[in-house]
Amino acid sequence: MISDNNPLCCCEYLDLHKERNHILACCCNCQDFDEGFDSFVSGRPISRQTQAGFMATLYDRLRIPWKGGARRISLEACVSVILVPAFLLIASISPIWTVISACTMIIFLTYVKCRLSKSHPKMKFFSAWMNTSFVTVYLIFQFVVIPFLQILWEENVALSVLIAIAYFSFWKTKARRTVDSLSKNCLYCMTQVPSDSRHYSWLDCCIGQHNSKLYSFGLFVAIAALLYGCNLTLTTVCHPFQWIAIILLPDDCTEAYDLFELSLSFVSGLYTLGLATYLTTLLVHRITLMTFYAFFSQSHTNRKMQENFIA
Amino acid sequence: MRNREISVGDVFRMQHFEKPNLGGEYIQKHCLPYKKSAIIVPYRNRKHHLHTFLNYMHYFLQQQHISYRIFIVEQNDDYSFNRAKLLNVGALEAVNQNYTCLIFSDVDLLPLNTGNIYACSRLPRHMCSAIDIFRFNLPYEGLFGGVISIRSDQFKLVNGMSNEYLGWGGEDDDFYRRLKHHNITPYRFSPQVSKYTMLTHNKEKPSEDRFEKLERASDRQQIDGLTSLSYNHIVKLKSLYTHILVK
Repeated sequence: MISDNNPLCCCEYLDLHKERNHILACCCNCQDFDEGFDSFVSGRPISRQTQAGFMATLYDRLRIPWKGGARRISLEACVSVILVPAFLLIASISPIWTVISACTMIIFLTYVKCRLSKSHPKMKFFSAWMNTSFVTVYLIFQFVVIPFLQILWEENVALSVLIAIAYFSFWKTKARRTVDSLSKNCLYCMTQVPSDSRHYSWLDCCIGQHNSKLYSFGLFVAIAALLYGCNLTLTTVCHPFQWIAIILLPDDCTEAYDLFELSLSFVSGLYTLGLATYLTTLLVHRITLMTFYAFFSQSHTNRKMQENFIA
Repeated sequence: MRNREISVGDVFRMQHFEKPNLGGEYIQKHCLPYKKSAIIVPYRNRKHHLHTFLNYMHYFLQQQHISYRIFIVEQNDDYSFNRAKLLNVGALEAVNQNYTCLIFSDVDLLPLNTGNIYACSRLPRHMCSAIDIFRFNLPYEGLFGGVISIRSDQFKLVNGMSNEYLGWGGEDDDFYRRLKHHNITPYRFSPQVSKYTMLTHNKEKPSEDRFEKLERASDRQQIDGLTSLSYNHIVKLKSLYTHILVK
């Protein structure tokens, strides 16, 4: 352990072994990588210990310069911040690329869900992915769709308010704690949660009866915000028509790929629609569970009342 | 007469209208017209749009019980499109034919409400504030392009429009500044009445020097406009419109 009293510069940090290290040296001196590569070349299996060591070093060295020493950033956030915009940019090239990009994204997410989330329960990949997605489509909306000057400021404010309400209710959902005698330990959250809870990796939170209503409300508002944003974007990009004299809907999107700004807005609108569909399935699932619980608990109390009556 | 909203689909249907006089002139037979409107349309190389426009506009205008004539002003060269100059030429020709009400209209803009009267009032009017491709919203308050109506004396007072805007954009904002400079503030009807549909076409690239020109808009007003207009033109009378070919 080297001890010197100089403060860390913005690119330096104390690594896993409590030694001074520099961001620029991130690719140097990784013993586990060397061993792993050795095994790979000579055809031997890579040991679990080497794998884990390599991942630990990778997490430790993924840093951004910061005042008073470089700060660690999560690998999941890093991957999401690169991949979400990359998928959208590739999709905006042409309709065929949109299909390719969408399929690749679905396959990639399914793979991560089925393989990696089991082996790495602590990974917060899905919440990072969802957060990045929401931020990306919102930024595209503000900086690409709005400059077309077709959306009124009232409509923009209404959308932002919906998003704020959704974020606030999800925040409240996560913050709510109950003291419950029937509690269990959540493998993912690593805290005590009520026994009827279920972990949702996209929100990185356990949902049980204590926060189910808030969660459903948040989902409902989030879906409304996504659908509204999608409608604003698509009616800007595409030729719109007035359905039953008040609601504006797109009817002709043939010019959507004529201009980069148009196609980027268009694919972001489609992605927003995809996100809304996903959240809708979650909401339907949640409502089904809630109805089931309500029914179950009611029959339970009925039985108790019967017992009391007989007694 | 009650305002009636026309569906977008009707724009593309074959419409029945009374055959106008040669040169696209239509005079009301049932009532004596107080004023006649000159519908002036800058044009180049958009045959499909022109067919749709003529078929629909004669039908639309005749429902408003007005007398009018449609002027198609065509630019006959391969240089950048000079919309404002074509409008100046069309306006002078209309004034020569004793029209006191000028209506400048793009060939791809078709009105959807019969209450949107194609005639002039005391102040100039921006007629197309709710276009479908702009989600029926007005992009910005000072917009004065697309379809406008203005009395010919006011048009002459501000020395017409600037001849220096080549390509897409800027000339309408310049014209708005000219009017403001003379304390003439255009107005609009309600968005409900000002509904339009725009025929689809590939988007044109905006000209890059339009903002620079706009900055010096009021300096050029006296020297650039109707007074500096130089052009050759041929006027031909077609069955549905007066054709002005500008070189």
